[in-house]
Amino acid sequence: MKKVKNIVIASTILITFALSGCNSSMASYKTKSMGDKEMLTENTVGNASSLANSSDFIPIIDEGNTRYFSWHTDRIRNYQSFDDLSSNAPAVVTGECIETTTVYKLHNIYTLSRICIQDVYKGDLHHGDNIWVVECGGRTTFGEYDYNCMVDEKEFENNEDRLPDDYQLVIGIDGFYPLKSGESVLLFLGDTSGFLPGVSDPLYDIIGDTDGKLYAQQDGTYRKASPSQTDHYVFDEGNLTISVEELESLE
Amino acid sequence: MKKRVGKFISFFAALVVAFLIPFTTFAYNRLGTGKVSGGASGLLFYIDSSAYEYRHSIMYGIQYWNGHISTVSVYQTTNKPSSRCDNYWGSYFPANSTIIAETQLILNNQPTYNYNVDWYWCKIFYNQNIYKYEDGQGNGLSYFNRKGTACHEYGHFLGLAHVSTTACIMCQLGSGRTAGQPSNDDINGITAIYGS
Repeated sequence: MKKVKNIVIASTILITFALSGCNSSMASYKTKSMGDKEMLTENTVGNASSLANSSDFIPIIDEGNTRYFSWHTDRIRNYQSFDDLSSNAPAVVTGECIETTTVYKLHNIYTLSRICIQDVYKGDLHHGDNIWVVECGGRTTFGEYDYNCMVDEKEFENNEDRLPDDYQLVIGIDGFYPLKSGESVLLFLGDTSGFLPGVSDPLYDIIGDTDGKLYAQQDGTYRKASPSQTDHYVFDEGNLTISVEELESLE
Repeated sequence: MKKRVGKFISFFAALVVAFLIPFTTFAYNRLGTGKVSGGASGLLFYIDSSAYEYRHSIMYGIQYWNGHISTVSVYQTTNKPSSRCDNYWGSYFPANSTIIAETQLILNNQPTYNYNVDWYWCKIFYNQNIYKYEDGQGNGLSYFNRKGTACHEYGHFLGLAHVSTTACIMCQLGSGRTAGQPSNDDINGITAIYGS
């Protein structure tokens, strides 16, 4: 009887371990098939830096007359918590993007957004102020991009299939795209005045590029978007979410 | 009884090894099914005059991809039109950006939008606020990490995406990367793309 009991216990332990081992290992490095696409994806919680990590990775990113694409980066730091962001940001505000302008510098594209501030939780800014925020990436036409970014011609390129000049481009970084007019956001900001030669007003940028940008949700909280192939964001439950109560604790 | 316990422990240990080994040898992600058009052997990279100060870390970092598999090799050129990887250094990122460097993939003189099609070449932009000598005040990067970033960015050009395994070159430095050159997992990644 004791023997049977021991075997049952041992089997239970083995099966439990085997299953947990499968889950932790296989979930981390599973193969995902999507049509003709076969890709190893890593299913890690809280790592929002890779397009390939998105659970909604869809390879087709030409929507109508708009083409989305995203550059790939190496970063020295990722801000992943409220404390991390708030302690490193000189200014923390909520507001609405009321205007955006595409600008160029050193043959790269940027978006200059005018933000009408609603609430200030940290920093020397005030309700109703309009401030400029710069982000890497932008929205433009292929003709404008081609003219301003001056992509070199290479001797090995066949240069076929050129896009029409009026084709819309949306350019982002690591699956995140610049602000659009009408978006309500929580921003963790720093000073980058002087970064754009043509802007003499105080100029702000977002702490950790896209890390310090969270979007207003219907329940009154602010949540970070998941990396995406387009700027139609998905807000997964596990993403960083910040409540107004947390923000008020900064005041 | 002791014999049985011993057998059980041995069996248990064997199972642990059997479960762990297969899943730790494929820690790489691909951007998509695309790759460098025409293969990645004998490619040339160019270092712009703006990046001259940091040419050694860029050159050695990129060349860390050499010598692993016959289908991937890369050499420096001074002839920009023949370069598949142009490297620039400058004020490309705002002050509070944490981006060390950025890779832009290009196909037919257009940004590559779909990583399931092959691309021709790339531009790598290094952030002058971060990709610089260490100043002892916590600013800048060590030579080890500067080479690592160049190697990481060229890994994107080869078709690899980020991973969170810190021992891999395709892990971001901000996510705790300890590697300075491609690990076995990274090599497995390029082998899967280009063959051996």
